[in-house]
Amino acid sequence: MHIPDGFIAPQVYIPMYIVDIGLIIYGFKKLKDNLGKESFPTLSVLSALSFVLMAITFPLPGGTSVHITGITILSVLKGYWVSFVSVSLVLFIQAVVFGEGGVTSFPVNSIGITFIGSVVAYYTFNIFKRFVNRNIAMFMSGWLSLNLSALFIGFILGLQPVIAHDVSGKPLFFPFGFGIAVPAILIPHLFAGLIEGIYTVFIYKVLKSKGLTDV
Amino acid sequence: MYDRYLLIMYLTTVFLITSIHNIWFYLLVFQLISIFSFKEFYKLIKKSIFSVLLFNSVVSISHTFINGFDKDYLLLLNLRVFVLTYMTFFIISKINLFKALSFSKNLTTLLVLSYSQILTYKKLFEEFNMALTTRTVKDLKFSDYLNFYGKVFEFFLDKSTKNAKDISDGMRSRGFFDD
Repeated sequence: MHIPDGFIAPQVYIPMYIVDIGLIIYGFKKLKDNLGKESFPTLSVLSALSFVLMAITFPLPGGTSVHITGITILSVLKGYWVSFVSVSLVLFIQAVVFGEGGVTSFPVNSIGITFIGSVVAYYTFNIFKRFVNRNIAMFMSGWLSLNLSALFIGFILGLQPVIAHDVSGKPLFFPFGFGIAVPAILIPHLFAGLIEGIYTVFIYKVLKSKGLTDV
Repeated sequence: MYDRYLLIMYLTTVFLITSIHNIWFYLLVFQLISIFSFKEFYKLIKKSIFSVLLFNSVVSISHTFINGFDKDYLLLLNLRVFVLTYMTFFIISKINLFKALSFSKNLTTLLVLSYSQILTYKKLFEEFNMALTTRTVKDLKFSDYLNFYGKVFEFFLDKSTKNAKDISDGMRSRGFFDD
């Protein structure tokens, strides 16, 4: 789902940078208010933890594989601001230190994958747990957060030819509109979301059985 | 200050590359960066191509399949992505990001701490994966992977709790929490 550099127009990435930086500062301030100076060590280890979660890959038939995001686990266990700030830190370090992802696509990835993913995961779990078994709520949370993130990324990609084209109407960045971009991103994630959901439930069960979470 | 200027120059060039839609401009930028990076030229070329190959191939082939072969668009898009990636790989090898962002003590502290933790976790995670590979003689089932990565998560969660306390104690003993 990560978008490389060069596919997003400045008309999109500049306003998204403004929004994303605002959200990160607000999230960080909220954490600092709750944790005080302890927020530095907590965020650093949780960033490293989410880095590991994002590196977990499940092989699929046909030689392909799917990697999870781990955002649901972090968001439900630690809260969506913690999840958003720590995973955004990872995406930032990946983009500017490891050269993975992209500097121009960072805010899109950060808002799409991390912010939307974290908020959706947190609220889905907390709403669904009132009506269904917590394991099902956890699965729904993992599946839905990944798919709504994918929908957002597909929407942003589909927006590119609409807002960035030359005088003859030729696209200048990502070439496909909503009709192609959204299903192309969303359909594989409908299946990837199943793996995310299963892994999230598995982790939740393990933590619950060992008394490591009271969620 | 050198790192900060380099970062500003890099970000300005990124903005220009994404704002000027001209392949000659991209070639000019590429030529200039190539001069500065001539020692690592082939290494960077290889790394950049490898990094963008999958996404760009999918987009370029799909575009050609749907809209027909459009040389100008394909050249513009692929060259832009390639130049941006090449430049990013070159700049990140030359810049000390922590010095470049030292205008904010909080940001630098957070980045240094997170980066050091990520490097440690990354190495450990690779060792876990190597241990699995070297101890596996037949294909694993999905449930085996689930169990394995479940244990991996447990290990790292436990490590995170302990490390957070260690880092916190270390920072306190160095007077970081004294205002």
